[in-house]
Amino acid sequence: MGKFEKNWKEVFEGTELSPSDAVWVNINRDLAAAEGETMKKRIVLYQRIAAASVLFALLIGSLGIYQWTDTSNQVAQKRTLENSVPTVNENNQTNSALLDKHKLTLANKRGSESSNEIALTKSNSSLNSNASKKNLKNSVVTKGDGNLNEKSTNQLLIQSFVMASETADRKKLNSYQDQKVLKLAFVDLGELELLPIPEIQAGPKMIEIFRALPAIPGAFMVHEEKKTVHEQVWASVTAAAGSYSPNTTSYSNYSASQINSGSNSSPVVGSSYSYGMLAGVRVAKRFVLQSGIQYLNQSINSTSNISSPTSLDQVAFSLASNSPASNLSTTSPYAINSANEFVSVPLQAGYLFIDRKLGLQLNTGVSTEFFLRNTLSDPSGQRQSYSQSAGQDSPYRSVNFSGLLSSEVSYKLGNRYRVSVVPGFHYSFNPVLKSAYNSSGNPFVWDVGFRFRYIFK
Amino acid sequence: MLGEKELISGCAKGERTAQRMLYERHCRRLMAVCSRYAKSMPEAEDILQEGFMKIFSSLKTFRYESKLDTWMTRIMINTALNHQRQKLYLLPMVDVEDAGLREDEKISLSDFHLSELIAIVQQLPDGCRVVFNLFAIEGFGHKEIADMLGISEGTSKSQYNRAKSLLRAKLETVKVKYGKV
Repeated sequence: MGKFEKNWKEVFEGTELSPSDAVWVNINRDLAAAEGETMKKRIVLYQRIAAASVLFALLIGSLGIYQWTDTSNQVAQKRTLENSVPTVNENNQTNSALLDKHKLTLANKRGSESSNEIALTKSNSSLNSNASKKNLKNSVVTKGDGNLNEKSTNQLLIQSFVMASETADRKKLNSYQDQKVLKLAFVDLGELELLPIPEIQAGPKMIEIFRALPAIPGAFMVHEEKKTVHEQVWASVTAAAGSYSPNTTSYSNYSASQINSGSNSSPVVGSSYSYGMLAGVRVAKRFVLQSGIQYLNQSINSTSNISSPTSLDQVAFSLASNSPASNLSTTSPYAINSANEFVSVPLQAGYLFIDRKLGLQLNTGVSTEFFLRNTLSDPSGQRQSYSQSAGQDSPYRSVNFSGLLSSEVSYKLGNRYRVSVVPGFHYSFNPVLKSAYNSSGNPFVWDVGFRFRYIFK
Repeated sequence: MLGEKELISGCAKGERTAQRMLYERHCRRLMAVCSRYAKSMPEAEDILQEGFMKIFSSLKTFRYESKLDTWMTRIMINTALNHQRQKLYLLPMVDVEDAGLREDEKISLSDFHLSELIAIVQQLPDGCRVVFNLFAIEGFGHKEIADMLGISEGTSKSQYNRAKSLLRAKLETVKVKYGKV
């Protein structure tokens, strides 16, 4: 290195120059924008997850309704089929009477016409054999009616009766008659004799209908009755995060923006999070009620140009006094964060589309939100934060009401626990600010929640 | 007062107070660096702003393998080079003849105020200014400069010679004008 370079290096070594204040202001703004961008990406992700889940819920719900409607049709068909049985039974009673009459004749001719009797019992034997087959079909078709034991007993008794008939054991025959077994056996015999062929084939047709149902995963179809017995009362801890939008048509409707001159394009989407506890109870086979208590925090970043060198009280004052920003002294824009905090008491009704190990539930309801405070803070830390709570002099409403809509996809862990993902939508029926403050925007939240449920019984 | 590690950790977490403190500690030194590479002070401030944004976003990856000062200066120089690169493409550097500078410089730089010297450097053509800074002040060799700027080593040398020649001429002009002989 020559003398020239050495001289220049010495001159510039350790030198310092002060940049203008605008450099940090711009860096601060860019950092806030970068954070907003990151948050925006997260928000878009939350919104997509929520939208996908709602679509999924609707799809599964539609399938569930379709299945339910179709099952109703099957039940109706089955009932129609069952309604035809009394007619058959009436015919059977007639047959039974005829048979009794025939048996009286048999009794009168006892000892003399044994060959005829054997012929009759042989005929009965063949018919009973067919009756057994018919009963077997019936037992398959009517499995859900709880008549399985009765039908099986009938089958056994009929078989015994056939054996007795074949051996022409009159004592056993009479014994069966005394026990009204004979009547039962002949009811089935008569049914077989009088049923028209298409009705006999009704059983296999129903099986075909079951096969024609849309392909629903097996996990959704088996052991329905057993599962619904449990999960009557439960409690859960819940936490959710997502996007928050004040949903204002103009900046003057939102606190953090009201203090802005309006010339700076602030982000209109913020973030929201909540956590709390819920309790639930099943009020019907597929309906549940849930309620509890939650803490809500809804915040949004913005910029302000109101001169407020040490504390943000001046900014808050401009809001409380409803003064337009133009009436106040201004400075170069700086980042500001406004956070609203609430205690919320939600009340939701839920419909269970799927109630198995994997569950799907659609919830809707309302929540009463008690305003705790609004906090204005400067992310750069240059100005002191300023908080305002609810009250007569406060620009904020003490109580707000919101509508809730969410889908809940859950998975049961063991016998006592269930975890859920709950994408949802939260819409406030009124603005955060009182009507005197020229507010018209109804804030809404898209979020995704997680719940951990403990099942009491 | 936060230590360097706490400051880095705070910045990496996105804490604005820590970021502000880091900026306050280093902005003047880095502004001097930027002003040598820029053609004007507003441009130097643009480079400083862009450089700090890169520093804040890259601090998570800082591994303490070098001093924080050195790491930040290097980021700032790279930002300045990127800033100049477009201009370097627009005005491609070509070889210039050796100005035949005398080694026995008779002009003492101590006669000049820092702001005057910075202004003289800023008046150099873009290519000459960048090569002069990299070679004379930062201490890079012509081979390294050639690799950094995507030019030939010969171009780097000739640009540097031209920068020397122009600087000498400028210093003499200022000296005469303000009677610093």
